[in-house]
Parts: sequence; C-alpha cells; structure tokens
Amino acid sequence: MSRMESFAAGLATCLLLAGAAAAQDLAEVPRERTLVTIGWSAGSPTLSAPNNANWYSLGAELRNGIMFVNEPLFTYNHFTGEHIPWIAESYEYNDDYTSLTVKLRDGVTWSDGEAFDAEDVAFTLNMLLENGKTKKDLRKAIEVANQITGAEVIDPLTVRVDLIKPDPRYIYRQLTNYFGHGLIWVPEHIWSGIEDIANFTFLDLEKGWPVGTGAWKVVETTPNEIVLDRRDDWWGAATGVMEMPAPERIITIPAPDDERNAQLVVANQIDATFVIASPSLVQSILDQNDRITTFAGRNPPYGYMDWWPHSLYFNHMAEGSPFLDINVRRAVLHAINRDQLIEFAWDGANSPNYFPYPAYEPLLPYIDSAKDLVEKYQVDVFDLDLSAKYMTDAGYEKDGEGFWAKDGERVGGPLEAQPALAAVSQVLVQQLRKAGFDAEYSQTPDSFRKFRAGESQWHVFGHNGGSIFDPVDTLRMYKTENQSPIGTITFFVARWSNPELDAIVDQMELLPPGDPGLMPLFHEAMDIWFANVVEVPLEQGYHLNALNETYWTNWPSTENPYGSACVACFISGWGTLLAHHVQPVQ
Amino acid sequence: MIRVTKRLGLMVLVIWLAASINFLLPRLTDRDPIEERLAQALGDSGGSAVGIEEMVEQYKAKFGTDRPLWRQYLSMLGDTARFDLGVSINYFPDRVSQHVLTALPWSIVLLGVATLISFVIGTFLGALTIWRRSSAWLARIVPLFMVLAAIPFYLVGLILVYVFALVLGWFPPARGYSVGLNLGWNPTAIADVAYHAVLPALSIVLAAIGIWALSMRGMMVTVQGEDYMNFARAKGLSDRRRFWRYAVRNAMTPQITTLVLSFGNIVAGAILVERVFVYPGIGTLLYNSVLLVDYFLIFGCVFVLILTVAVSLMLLDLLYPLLDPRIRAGGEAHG
Repeated sequence: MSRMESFAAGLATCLLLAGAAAAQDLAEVPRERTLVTIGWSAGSPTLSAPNNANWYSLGAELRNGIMFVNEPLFTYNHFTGEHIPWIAESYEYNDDYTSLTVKLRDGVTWSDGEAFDAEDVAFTLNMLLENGKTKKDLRKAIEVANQITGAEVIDPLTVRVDLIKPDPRYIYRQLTNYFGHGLIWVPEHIWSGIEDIANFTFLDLEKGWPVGTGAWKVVETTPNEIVLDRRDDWWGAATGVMEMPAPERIITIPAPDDERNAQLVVANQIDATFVIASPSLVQSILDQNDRITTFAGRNPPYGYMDWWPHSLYFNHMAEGSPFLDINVRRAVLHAINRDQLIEFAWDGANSPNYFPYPAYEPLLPYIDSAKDLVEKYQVDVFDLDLSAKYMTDAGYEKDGEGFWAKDGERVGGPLEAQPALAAVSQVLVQQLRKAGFDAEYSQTPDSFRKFRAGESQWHVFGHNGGSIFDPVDTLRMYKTENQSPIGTITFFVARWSNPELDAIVDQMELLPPGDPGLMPLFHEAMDIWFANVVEVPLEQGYHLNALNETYWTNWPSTENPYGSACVACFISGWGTLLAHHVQPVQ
Repeated sequence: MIRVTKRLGLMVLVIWLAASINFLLPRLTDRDPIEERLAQALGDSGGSAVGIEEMVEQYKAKFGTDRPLWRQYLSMLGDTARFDLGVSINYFPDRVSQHVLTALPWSIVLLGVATLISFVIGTFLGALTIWRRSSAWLARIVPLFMVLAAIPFYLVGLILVYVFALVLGWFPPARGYSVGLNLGWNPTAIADVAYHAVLPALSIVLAAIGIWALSMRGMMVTVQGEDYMNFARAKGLSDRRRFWRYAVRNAMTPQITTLVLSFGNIVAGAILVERVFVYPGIGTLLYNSVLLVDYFLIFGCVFVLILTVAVSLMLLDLLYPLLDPRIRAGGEAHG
C-alpha cells in the first residue's frame, strides 16, 4: 500500500458503507493478459445497460462489453471486401434470390455445452418474424418481418431463410455482422421457454447467463465495469478451427468524454480508447506516450474511415423552405470550401468528399466511374461568384446586412448538427454566412431528434444505413418508400425521392453485388442525384482512436486492416475479431 | 402527539407537492423518451427505422404514457405511495429502484462524509476566527474562506484532478475504484475505494469549508454581543465554557438547519462532482436520466432527494427542542 493509500485509509471505515457490489470471487489475471477497453456509455460516467444481455430488448446495449459473448455467422471486412465465415461455413441463394440456405459450422457449442445448430438460427429469425407481426416490441423484429416469410431447419447444420421478395443482398442485411448490421443469435433451448422476451434480460451470472458461443463469458457486471473471462472450453480452440485468443480477461469501463479517454490511455490504464473527436487531442496523446499508436500509425488521420461520410442535408419536405429551389441549393453547394472545413475542423486529418459514399475498396470502382459527373455538375467547385449568380437567378438580393433575402425573408436559419459534427458545422456556418446565407449554428440536446423528425430545413449528418460493399444501400435511402413524412423519425434525413431514381434502384436491387450490370445503372442514378443537388457531400467520416502497445500489439492498422479499431463502436463481431487478433507484448 | 401528527401531515403535504412538480416538469419537454430510446437502438443496429412508430406505440402502452396525463398522475401517486418507482425507459426492463439503490450509497457516503467533515471543520474554524482569545492567524485566514466559498466545488475538483492526478500522479483522476478490482468487503478493496474517494471528497470539503466558516462567523458576531455572554463573563466562567456552552451552542442552530438542507442538496451537488470524477453515484444516474429524458428515472432520483429533505426537516423540527432549550412545544419561544 502506498503512502497515499495509507492516508486514504482514514476514510475507509466510512466507505465500508459504500454499497459496493457483493463480493466477487474473480480469479486473479495479470494486467498483461487483460485487455482493458472503453465500453459504450453514451457520454455518461457509467456503462450503458449493464444488467441486460438481451439485445432485442429496448433497454439493452451490448457494446458495453457483453458483445464479446456473441459470435457472428459471417463477418465482413470493408477494407478488403472479404466476406468471412465464423460460426457458419457457407451460404447459397436459390436461382431467383428468394431464399438463402446457410450451412453452419460443425462443432460449435454454446457456453453451457449445448450444440449451436440450425434450430437456434431458425428460432431467432422466426421469433423476430412473429414478434414483428404481433407484439412489435423487439428490436429488429419489424424489419425482419418485412424481409422474410420464415426460416426452416433442413438438417442440424443447415437452415433455409425464405424471403418476401428477391434480395441478393440479404446475406449482408441480417446474417453478416459488420458495423451496425447483423443479428445476435440466441440459444433456442433457453429462449423458447421465455414468454415475454421484451422483459427478459438474459443476465444471471449464477445460471451462466448470458449464454453465447464466444470465447469469453461474463463474470462481473456493474455500471463501472464489465468483466469477461476467457473460456478454456471454447469450441473454436477445442475443434482446432481457430486458435485460442490471447486475452484471458477483457474489461470494459466507461469514459464519458474524450479527455477521460485520453487520460486513461496515456496512463496505460486502458489499451484502446473509444472514438475521439479531435485530431489534436489524439496528437497530444501520441506526444505524451510513445507506446501509443492508431489505425493509421502515429500520423494523420489517426484512425480509419467510417461508413458515414458527412453531408450538408436539405430537408426536401420542409414546407416553404427556400432550399426547395434548386438554384438555392446550387448556391449553397458553391459556397462551401471543403479544404478550409477540413483544415479548421479536423486539423487537416480528413479528406474532401463529393459522393454520399465512403471511399472503401469495394466502392472505389463505382466512385471512379462517376467522377465525370462531379465535373459535369461542378460539385467540387467553391466559387462565391457562382454562388451569387444562382441566388440572383433564384430572385434573391442582398439586404443591408449582406444576407440574401426575398420579400424580406432571409435564407438560412438554424443549422442543426449531429453532436459529433459540431466542429465542422461551426466552420460551415461561418462559410455560409460569408456567402450571404443567414445560417445559425444550432446544437441543442434536441437537435438530433429535430432533424430526424424533419423539423429543420438543413442539417449536418452522416449516412446511417448507407453503402459499404456495393452502391445499392445508399441509393435505397433516396427511394420513395423510404421517404418518411415530417414528424416521423428516420435516418434518411434528406427526405428526397425521385420516381426515375426509384426505377433504376429497383433494377439494381435485383442484381447481386459485383454484377457488371450495376455500373451503368449506378452512373445513371448518380446523374439524377447530382443534377438535383440532393445534398452537399462534405468530407469522409473518420473514427479516431488511440491504441496502446504497452500490453498488447497487433492492433488493426493500415498495413494489417483486419477490422475496425474501435472495440465498442459496433455491435457486430468486430470487437470479437480484434480480441482474437491482439497479441501480448510480454 | 398532536405536534408530531401535524409535522407528519406537513411532511406528507410537502412530499406530495414536490412529487407532483417532479412528475410534471420532465413531461413539459417536446422530447419523447421512448421514441428517442428506440431511435438510438435502431440507429445503432444497421440504420433502418422501419416500424419505429408502431414500436413507439407498443412501448407507450407498456409504460402507460399513452394515457391522459391526469391518469398517469393518479397512477404515479398510487405507485409512489407504495414506494414503487416504476420501470426505467432507458434501462428497460430494470426497475428504477434497482438503479437508485445501487447508486445511492456511493453518493451518500462520499458526499455525506465530505459534507460532515466540511461542516465540522468549517463551523469550528469559523467560530474561532471571531473568538477574542483565538490566535491571530485565525483572523487572517478569513480571506481564504472567502475565496474558497466563491469557487464552485466542481472547479476545485478540476484543479485537484489536474494537480494531484495528472501532474503529480498521486491520486487517480477518475472512477470509484481501480479497473479490475475484486470489489468486496476486504481491506484491499476498501483502501482502494477510499483512495479513489480522496480527490472528490477533498473538492467538496475545500469548497464547502469556506461557506460553513463564514456563516458560523456571522452568527458568532451576533451571539458575542448578547447579554447572556456578558453575564457569563461577569460570572467568571472559563473561556472554554463560554465558547462551547454559550457562544457556539447558540450560534449552531441555523448551521444545523443549513446542514440538514445541504444533505438534501447532495443529489443535486453530486451531479457535477460525480461527472468530473466519473463516480458511480446518484448524481451520475440523474445526469443519465436527464440526458435521455427518462421520466421514471428522473422521478425516482428526485423523489429520493425530496424524501431525504422532507424527512430530515421533520426530524430536525422534532429535535429542535432538544438542541435549543428556548424552543418549546407548540412553537412558543422564550428568550
């Protein structure tokens, strides 16, 4: 005990009453065999939902660390385009893409010893299907009910999923875990006996719950940390299919803000931070500890490209909005200096973007094929004179204070921003004001809801639900069927659609990823999209985080991009993938 | 007996009024916590918000928020009378009481102990600063009390974190205990928890000590001019006896009232301190519940505060006659 601890012991008697959790009999695991990371806490000093392991329940948040219990059927590496089987072996569509047969891996077992088989996959899908038609109180249930007619067990290791309509991308929708996509598979032998699944927490450490197929089991959950210990009986090592992962223990703790992340990683208390918004803070972390690196090494952009490129959105359903006039939208487009945005808001650690797509390897051929459209529609042109010309064409004149106005009404108003995009939005507002738009930066606790509900005229956001492996998903965001009315929450916040685009996307949806027929259709669709100035793409989205090499090495990197470097950003199998790859330094 | 009954009645009235306001205020916002929670959950799972309206309706029915406000209010009154604080929206299906009971002890011990320490030291030093027989240096620390009283404790907390945690590295910058600690009733865990409590406790003590000292000093100024003090000196009573039995005892009554009220403020004050130190107490819980407009969790956290203040005040009211012999039953005061 240090001197400080001795001093502090004066308070010890009182703190005996601190209501600490009941004593836990945790085995001692040395720090160099323990992976300590930041779990999901949504800006709070405590972990989200530590008492709930049922992801389908309203209150659950498995990114607090409980996610390590689960394993995906398949996962996907967006850096390389590799589709990776995990507890499944393969899949096959029928000829018209209306059903999909999945072959499971033999020898996979749940943590309670029961075999993981087709019954579990079919049960999970049918449970959601049934709930989506009746109770409608489980996450993903309505979505699944809109996609499948049922799942049937063919044999213990084969399950067939029947789809409502042909969908060559269904494997990527629910059966592959990457970013936020994919389902969590539940043990039929336990869940089939549960009547009210929405109220079921699936967390009882004495019973060994949550039961999963993953290499770790939960041994302690508190709002302050979730502890998982490696299972020596994990099926992957027992069958010889995979090697036993190195971390004997995984601990996730909360960090309410970037500064706490920084303090903890610099002090070697954690091995990986959560996403940090500011590149200069990451640089400061690197300056203070030479054992710390990032996905991009010790250089900008200090992270990896996320699936959410950022755009300035116009709300195309906002009644009376000046942005319904295409000339006004064009004027806004030419008023934005992306290089300056990146320099000021991201300290240079980002790259300009002209498409609603992340520049991922599988998407690059499509992006390259449509570069002529960027030139055709001058998407990359920052020109205040051109901006002014479009405003004049739209019938606007500058008022006494230099703002564009018509009939006494100025163009602008509150620009609502996603909290993580505060920095770029503030610079953007200044650029727009210089160009004569009466923009006001607005970032309140209600901003996120407002623009998702269609209550703002313009806003800054990413592309939630957009493309990763091929261009179709982003284009689907602009289909009429996904255009939510004002007042309804949506993630497709442009609220724009076009019947010609609908027809093209309908054709694209029937073609499997990689089909050569996609390329010309994509070009046609983007021509419509750019011509209408649906939104103003600004820049790529990057996830910046610090990775500490004091205890663990072999983190994902530009040279070895085996997965995302953020352990708790996604519910998918990526945290698991990372935990399977890291190697102890000592 | 009648007095006790009256006081009990008054306490129930105070609790009812405060609980009613606590029920109503969060519902004045435009935000719908169920919709927000679902939007967050669906947004984190692939981006589709398909069917969100139907799910919102389902959960509104579950939580009863689809009913008219007056019916929700009556349900709240009935449930609260049975000490049933309901189910949290954000932590569904957990009960609110489960989270409050987990978080409360951390706050009570940290802030309760820190408040008591600052009260005792501040009150004693405040009394001494004005006592004629005290050392001269005590009079000179009054400006320091003024400075401390003017600094909010979260700011003191930030300074302490910077100096003692980041620069000197003597104490941890955050958390209630070490990562991976085997939390339980063993000496290592207790010492670790105490070690982590030092900076948060010190920030409260330092910031509050000035307030206690200055208010006690003010009371002592008044008391020292009273006739009974002159009479005591004329009787030749010792300095120590006059200080403790005559001056401090008479000056203490308002201090104790403030102390009781400040216990009620523990929850409110805890928010910032617990945020600065990433401490898992009731302040953190209330902060989370406000962030997510979780009506039921907000109500639960604030109801605990209301109950604490109301019960403390009632007990104080009943104990006053014992503390101050001038106060007699029926509120009759004799000088």
